[in-house]
Amino acid sequence: MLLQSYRHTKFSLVMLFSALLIATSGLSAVLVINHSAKQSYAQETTYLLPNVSHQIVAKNQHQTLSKDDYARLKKLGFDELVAYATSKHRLYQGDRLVNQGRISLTGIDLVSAIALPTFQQQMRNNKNAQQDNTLLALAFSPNVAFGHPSLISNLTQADSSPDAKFSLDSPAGKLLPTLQDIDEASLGNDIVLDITSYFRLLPNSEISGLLWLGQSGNNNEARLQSLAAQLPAHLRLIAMASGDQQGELTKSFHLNLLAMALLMFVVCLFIVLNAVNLLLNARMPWLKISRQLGISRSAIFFIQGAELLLFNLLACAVGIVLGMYLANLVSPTVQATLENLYNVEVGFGQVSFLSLFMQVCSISLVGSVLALMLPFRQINLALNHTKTLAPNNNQHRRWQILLLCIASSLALFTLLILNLATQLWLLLMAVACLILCGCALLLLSYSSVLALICRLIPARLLLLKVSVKQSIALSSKSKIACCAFFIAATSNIGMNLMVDSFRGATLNWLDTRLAADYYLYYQGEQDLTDIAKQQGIVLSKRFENYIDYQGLTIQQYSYPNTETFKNAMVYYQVQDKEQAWQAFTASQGIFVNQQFAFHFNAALGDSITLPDPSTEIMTAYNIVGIVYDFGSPSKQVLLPIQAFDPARSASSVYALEGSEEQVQAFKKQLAILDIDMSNSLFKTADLLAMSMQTFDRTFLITDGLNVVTLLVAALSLACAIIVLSKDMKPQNMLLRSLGVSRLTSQLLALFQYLLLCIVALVFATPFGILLSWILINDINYHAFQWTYPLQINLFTLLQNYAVSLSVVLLIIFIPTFRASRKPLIEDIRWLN
Amino acid sequence: MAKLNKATYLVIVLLLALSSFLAIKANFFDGSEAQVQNTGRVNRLGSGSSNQATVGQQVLVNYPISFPADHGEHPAFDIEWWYLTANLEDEQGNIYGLQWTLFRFRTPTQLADKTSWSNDQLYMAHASVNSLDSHWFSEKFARGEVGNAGVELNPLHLYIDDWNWLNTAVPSKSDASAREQLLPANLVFQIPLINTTKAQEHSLLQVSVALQQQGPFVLQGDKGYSIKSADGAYASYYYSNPSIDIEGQFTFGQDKPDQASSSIAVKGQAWFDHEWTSQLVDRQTLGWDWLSLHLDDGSKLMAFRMRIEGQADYITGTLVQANGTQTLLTEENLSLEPSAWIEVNQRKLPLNWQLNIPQFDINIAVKTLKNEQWNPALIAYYEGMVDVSGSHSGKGFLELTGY
Repeated sequence: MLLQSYRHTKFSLVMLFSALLIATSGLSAVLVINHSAKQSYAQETTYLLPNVSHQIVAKNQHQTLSKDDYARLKKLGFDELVAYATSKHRLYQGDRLVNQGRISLTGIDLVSAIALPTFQQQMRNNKNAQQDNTLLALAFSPNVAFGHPSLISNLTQADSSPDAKFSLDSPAGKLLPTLQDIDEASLGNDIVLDITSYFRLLPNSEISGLLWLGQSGNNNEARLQSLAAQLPAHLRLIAMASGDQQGELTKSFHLNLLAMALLMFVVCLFIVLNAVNLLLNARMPWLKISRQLGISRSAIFFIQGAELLLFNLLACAVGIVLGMYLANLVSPTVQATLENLYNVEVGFGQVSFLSLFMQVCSISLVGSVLALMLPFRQINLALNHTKTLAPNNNQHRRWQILLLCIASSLALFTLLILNLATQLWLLLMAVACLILCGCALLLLSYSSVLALICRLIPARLLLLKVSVKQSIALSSKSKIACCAFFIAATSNIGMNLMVDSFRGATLNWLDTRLAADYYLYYQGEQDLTDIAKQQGIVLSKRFENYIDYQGLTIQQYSYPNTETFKNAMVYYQVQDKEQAWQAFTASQGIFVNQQFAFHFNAALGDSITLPDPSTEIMTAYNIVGIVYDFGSPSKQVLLPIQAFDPARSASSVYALEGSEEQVQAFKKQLAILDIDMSNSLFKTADLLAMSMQTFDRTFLITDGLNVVTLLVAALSLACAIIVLSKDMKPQNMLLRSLGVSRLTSQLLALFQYLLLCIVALVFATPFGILLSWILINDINYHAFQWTYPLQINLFTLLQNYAVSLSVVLLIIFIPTFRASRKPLIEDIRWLN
Repeated sequence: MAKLNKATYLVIVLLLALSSFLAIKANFFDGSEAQVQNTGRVNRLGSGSSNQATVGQQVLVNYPISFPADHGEHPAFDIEWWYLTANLEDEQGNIYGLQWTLFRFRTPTQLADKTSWSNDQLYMAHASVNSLDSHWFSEKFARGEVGNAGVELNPLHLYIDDWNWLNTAVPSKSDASAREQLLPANLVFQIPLINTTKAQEHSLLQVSVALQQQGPFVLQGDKGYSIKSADGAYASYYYSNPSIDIEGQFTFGQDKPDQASSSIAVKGQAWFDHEWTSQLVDRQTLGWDWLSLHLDDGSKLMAFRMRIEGQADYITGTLVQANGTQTLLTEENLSLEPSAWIEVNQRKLPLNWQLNIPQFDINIAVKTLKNEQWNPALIAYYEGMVDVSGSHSGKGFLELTGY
């Protein structure tokens, strides 16, 4: 009988299955991404090397870490050091660019590493190596590079042959050694090869650092101390970010992602709820017949439950496969986002299908059971009673009071969290509470607002008035679907306003800060100042030093003293811009970025002690301004350019002020000196455009999730409409019998639903704005230690309305179109 | 594509680098031929030839070994080693066996582009000290051109990281080449404890010893041209100095910085070998059993048995009598047979030997002073002190590879 009923309930089944599928695939995609990211942090290896706790790097770019430094430290007995060099590249297969994001190529001095006890221990522990016969064949293939299987399969999509050759940075570039896969989660977007092969490919590169492969135990600490004491002045020993620290850094990302997935999941459950409702409604005659045939209610519920369980299992299996595919598809973007935002390496992980199935299935089952409760309650009532019960006014009032209580307690709770909590998970809870509070308020005021609208409509627009009246009836029956739409719309408005504000702030900041005409990135030894001067170009160097401050590495950065750059400074907090600038240029005050101020709890007027950039003598500095520095992970202190000693500090960034002709002449001069500037000299406008392109790419995922959430909410609404359209048929037929055309009646039906959505959107607007305020001033503050002003752009809001309503219109058009195709006789039956 | 993991990657690199060494030291793997090529490097010895594109320079009979030039490295040859073994005693009469070796391998990549990170040479060093209770051992790897390993000529300096063999001669007008000589020299290295039967033992051993030459260098085989197989296909340039006095200090330290270190004085006799070739690189080579003995009558005896697949074992040696007379030993006048096979590190090893040279009335039994002297390097082998009894008494070292 159940199977027979499927013929008549195709639409409901498709809706139910799609909802389950979207929910499970979305959830599993997020779980896979989260799991992969966490797994790669948990790895104890760095570029395949075990137990790397520290590394030696150059203090500044002027005096780089050289091979001689490496040899000298080795000869002092620090044989735990292993040199590595790393750089990012684009790969080409023939003329085709195979990677959108850049891939890290990392060369390590493996010969030094292989004798180290930690490395040998790992080799002994790894029994698989002994079993793999391929190593003998590879033993005589020195021209080999290693990458994660997922990365290699991404790269070799067009040509899956193992001999696929990739050229570096251009189609005519040097050929990369043969890629061999190595299943190591920490690899991420790295291609690892021996340092000799690396320098064969990139002969002009420099060593990036010396990794410390220490053995655990007290002696390791003593040896590290001894190493630090014997380091040359231009080198410094720094701790590698441990798995815990990286986990901490990316916790916010995981939480954000998980929160989004759960949001999507919850909205999907709304569809499940409505789809089940729809299904049961369609089946109601069958169920009633079953009851008349003596089948117990419990048996009916059991069969419905078992059916949903089967659907769940099927949707989980398909959803997980889809989710994994989705995760794989977005993983390069996610990796790039994480690597850029948090400055950490993210790898590929392996997720067990079974454990993922268990997780997703159990969550989706719990959700489905919750979603089933309401329709089952209704069906229980329907099967119990032969007549529809009249609405109970007292019950309605009790609901109103309950909703008011819920809304006020949620609002209070949100306020408390926002004022007192600093933990990210609590702040995300506040976001959830805020949205739920909005839901409660919407439900509370839906009918009153609609009644008000009805009153505002003049009596001569009778049909419209009737239609609005019907909306009031609809609103009480489609609460859940409307809530789903409200949630989707609120998060949509919130996220879009946040991204829009961030984009606006970044654009504004970049526009102001990029005050020079051109920017040059150059790491060579040649002094370019005189060459620039010959062409009449003002060239400002940007010096930088890395120093330790309160146990953390921070950046000392030079800032030019010129008038152009004075105007280019964008302050977050400053008492008097003119005075602050005077103090800064006179070396009596410094500027710090938001990241520094928020992390070290520094405020205007505070005095901090830092090493002088030239002499390294500890000096007290007065903070005269806190400046914006969007997107930077570094805590930064800005000092005037004269505070830096060019012999000690150097930077690869130069600001150029000059005309296009002068810059062209400058380029020609550089070309004579064999300095290629084609990829490192940028016009400010181009640099700005590039930055904004990167920005937009980063937020592509957010946009995608927004649309999906909206789509899901609209689907939920569509399900509710189909159920409700049955209830509304007598009224519709009455209108039809009074001479209202089919088209008009359908347009009126569409208007009713749209009106519900518009009211929900209006309610969602203040909550969306509040949400973006929390995201910017609380969540961003705690996650990244910088904020930006919230910009409420009317155009963005209107755009949001348009997109939301279009999606809804598109979806609800389906059930109304279906209804309009039914012959009149079917509707007339309702009059009977 | 086949899946590889970190360890495999490591082994690949290791095998690459050590393919030459493996061929002589052990039958580590089958079915693979060493890929070597002519680097186009100038043959600084001025003789011999590297006429095949894939092999290093060949050793030739009648090559005149000369000092100090030949104490240095010979990078055109595929493999080379400087090998020191010493039997030592402290003031309490406790005995110690010391080994320090620097290996050089030519590892051409067949790739045209040279880099600042490789000159196609790779260095490996092993250092080991055995007492009757404990074993300290370590190994190091480094590539040429980086600057932390190599051989310098004036003063003669063999080094890898902080392990140093450095000439200590005082420059004089009478001997302008004194600083280029191998001896006198100081040898300094530090190694960790890997094995002990004592309840408490020092986890680090710092060795600092002075080496004094007491006798002339001995050219092994035919004036340094040492044949290693019956058909003459395997050969090397090989010279030794079996008469070196060694004296210095062992400083025992601890992992933990708060624990005190202690020093003892040690002295004894050392044996030095220097060998280089491109003609031991063959998958047929199974390994060798090598003995260096200081006999109490003042004579020095070196003997080895080369095990080659498909051929009878090749036995040869050199006897240097106390008066300096040197005699080449062959299977006609030398008998070298294992007398006991003992299990060490899950391998049966011929730790006891019977050696007979009727021409010189030498009939001796050679036994290891302790069984556990296995060097657990990436390419592991046995290197340990031995005791001599029978017609002569004495002490020395036994090396067993390819087991």
